[in-house]
Amino acid sequence: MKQLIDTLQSKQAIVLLIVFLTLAIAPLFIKNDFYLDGFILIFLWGAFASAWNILSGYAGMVSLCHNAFFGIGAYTSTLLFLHYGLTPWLGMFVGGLLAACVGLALGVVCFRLRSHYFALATLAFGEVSHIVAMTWRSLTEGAEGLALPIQPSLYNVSFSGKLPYVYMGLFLFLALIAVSYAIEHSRLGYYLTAFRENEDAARALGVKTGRVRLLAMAISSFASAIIGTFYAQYFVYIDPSSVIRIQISIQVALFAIVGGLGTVLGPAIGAIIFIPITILLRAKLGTTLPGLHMVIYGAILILVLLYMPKGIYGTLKQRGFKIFEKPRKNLAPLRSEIEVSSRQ
Amino acid sequence: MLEVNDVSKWFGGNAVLRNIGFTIDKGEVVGLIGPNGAGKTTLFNVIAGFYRTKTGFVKFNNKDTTRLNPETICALGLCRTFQIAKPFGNIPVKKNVVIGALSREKSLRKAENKAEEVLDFVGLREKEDLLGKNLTTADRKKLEIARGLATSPKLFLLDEVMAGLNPNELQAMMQLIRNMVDSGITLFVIEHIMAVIMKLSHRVIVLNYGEMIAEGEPAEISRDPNCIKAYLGEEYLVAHG
Amino acid sequence: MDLSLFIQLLISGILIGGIYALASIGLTLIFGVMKIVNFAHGEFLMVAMYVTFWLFHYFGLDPYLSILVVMPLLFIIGIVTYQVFIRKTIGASVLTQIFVTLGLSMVIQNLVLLFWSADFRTVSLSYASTPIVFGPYASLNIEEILVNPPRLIAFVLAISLSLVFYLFLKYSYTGKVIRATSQDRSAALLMGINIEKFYRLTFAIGILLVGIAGALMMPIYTVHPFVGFDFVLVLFVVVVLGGMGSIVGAMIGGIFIGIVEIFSSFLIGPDSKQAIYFLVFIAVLVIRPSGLFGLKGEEELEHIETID
Repeated sequence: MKQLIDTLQSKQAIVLLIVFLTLAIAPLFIKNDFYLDGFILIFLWGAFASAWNILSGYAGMVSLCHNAFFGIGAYTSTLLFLHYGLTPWLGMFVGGLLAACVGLALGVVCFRLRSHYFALATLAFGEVSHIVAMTWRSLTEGAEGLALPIQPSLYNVSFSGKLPYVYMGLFLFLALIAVSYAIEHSRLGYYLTAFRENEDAARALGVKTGRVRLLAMAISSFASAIIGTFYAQYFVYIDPSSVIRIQISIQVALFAIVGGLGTVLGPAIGAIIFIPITILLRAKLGTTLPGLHMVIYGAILILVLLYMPKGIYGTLKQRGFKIFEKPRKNLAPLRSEIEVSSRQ
Repeated sequence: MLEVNDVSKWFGGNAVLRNIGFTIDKGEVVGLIGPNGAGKTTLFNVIAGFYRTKTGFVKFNNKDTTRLNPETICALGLCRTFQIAKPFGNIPVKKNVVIGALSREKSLRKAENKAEEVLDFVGLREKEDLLGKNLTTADRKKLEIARGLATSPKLFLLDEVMAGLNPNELQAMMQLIRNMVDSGITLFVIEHIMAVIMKLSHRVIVLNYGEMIAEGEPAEISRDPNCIKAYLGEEYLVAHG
Repeated sequence: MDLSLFIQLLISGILIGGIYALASIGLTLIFGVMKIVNFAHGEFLMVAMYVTFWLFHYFGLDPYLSILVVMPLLFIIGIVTYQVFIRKTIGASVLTQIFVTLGLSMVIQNLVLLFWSADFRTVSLSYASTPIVFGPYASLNIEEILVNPPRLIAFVLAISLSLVFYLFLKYSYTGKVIRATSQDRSAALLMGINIEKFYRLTFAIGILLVGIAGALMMPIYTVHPFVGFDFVLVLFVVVVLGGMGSIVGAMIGGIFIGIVEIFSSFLIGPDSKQAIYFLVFIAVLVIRPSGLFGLKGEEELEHIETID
């Protein structure tokens, strides 16, 4: 707590606070649904990218199956509502738990797999989940998708205006940032980083890497599923290609990488940058130049990875722009090697 | 404190370790020497739980650790360093050490204090903000030791922490090792530099082609014909040529 | 299932598998030597298919002759891709490698979409449109077996080229160096091998091989901007099954997956054939991640430390 208070006194934290307050208050004054929609998308994808970042950024395990977790969340709450009338407020936790179980099962099954092999396994799993959603028609209606009835009520998590969705989105967005902050500043975050950097060394230092990985997997998949439910509630229609396509995983990865892998704010910043670009390109180009925005995305992804691997926020942080760290006292210039050794 | 009994290890059809057995008592400094490929690091990997053996057993403080994994063994108070230093490259030195300290400390704050203490002890405090990957060889070795020390080991396995150091750094490292011994840590040390190992250790174990060919005080070992043969045959020339 | 049908399916499976084998050799080679999984591999296949298509469309060039154009072209594309993108990812984190090649795949896919639209395009060969009939063999109780000429030609060419390449790796100096580099990077470096040069060469050869496969596939499949992604998933299955880095493994894995694909789409339905080989994929990854012919332990990130 003391750390948090210290943190909040720093200059950058004030900047941050202003940004958040703007995000919180601005929607009240925006009457244009187009912009509100933009806010909702930023929050949704920012939160989702943060969830991906917990597993892939902090723990360094490249997941290409977050579309599966997202889809599990969207489908579970929607199906529970359509068939049993269960409120999505509860349905989303059922979906979250289900996704976490699937994530854990996948983690256990793939426990031996490292690096490329883990990524390939998740890719296969992401694809299989898409195929299952397409072919298990009796449950998912296949490619036709599922529509939620538009009956605004709190119980149905359905509202007539966009504003409630904006605030739900904002809540998720901030919640995921808070979770990332909590992880980064806890034992778990240290252990995940150690695992990412060098598993053998981590184990030699007593880090239970197996357990730590599974925990990251569970948190990440749980959060992704909750966001999936939010997606379903907002768009009131889901089908395999909108919630369970492999491209979804790539997209969240893109946001997180460009924003800053393994950082608290990076994924959110990625979404804040990319969503408006996407919306603009779509609005300007419409269908005249299909795929142009994907070309731009791909190019940015490559450029960032090759020339700014820490991403936007990671690079800012490195240059001394620190929000979540105490301002450091200036250290004396490093003494030369010999001096250091002769001191002993 | 450590009891290794009849340990063998095969990779494919090759026996890398054959019927190794010895003990280490509390407070000792035991050297492990032998030519390249003798199985020294493999033995460390077996003791620290990175490799499993099918034969024999390893006991640490009278507890059978043969089937335990490295993280559990570390929790019991047995830690090792790696021959090729494995710093967590993209995080600061201090955070590297905090990760080690977290294995004992309940809170992050306590772990940080512990890390600072250890960094002072090994002389890396000034560099605590550098990224692991930006350290020099000598500092990487120190970081290996610092991280290990942060786990408060009772028995510490050091794998060639002096390799690649210049004479100044070597002196500092030897002093550091003496300081560790003074603080009550039992050491098991792989080292190539004979002068160093003979000076530091109370007892030396010699491996050659996976077999223990000698064990004894440094003075005895340097007179042992088997060892001289093993070393003069290959290593002597390398070391002096 | 009667015998004739079984044989018919088996032959179809083997024929498809031959192309999978050729296409995945490049992928497995690149992984074996450079430890990079090229997620854009399918896009090079797609580009080769388009090149073949346009050559046929504008110049009436026979797809099998267009191999002679595709080979040098894809080789150059491979060199350029290596120099501009891949070189910088050598030694970088796995995440970087994966997403650089994924980003490359996004860019290529969508550039093709921009320029050549999402239309499905095919090449049909007049001389090869009637199936070749084998049999019936009354004595063996086997009815007629039909084989599509493009598939047969593709198979024969794919397998012979794979064998040629295999012999190249085995006996030529360059091939030996490539193999040596894949077995031990640092030892190769110590031997004074210009690793950089051989990485570039390996990558370009890998792209060239998948390019040939693309040309061979053009008379069989339709091409569209996203066809590469569908195929690359199959190629991953083949490569993992055979053991990442193993050429022989890729050849056997390719044929095995071809057979699995044909039988599962016949028995269960074409929709779920993908699900079947992905399940094979996950099963292999779980049970024997090093594949049938791979080095054991390869899948577990950096082996502690070798013996001393």
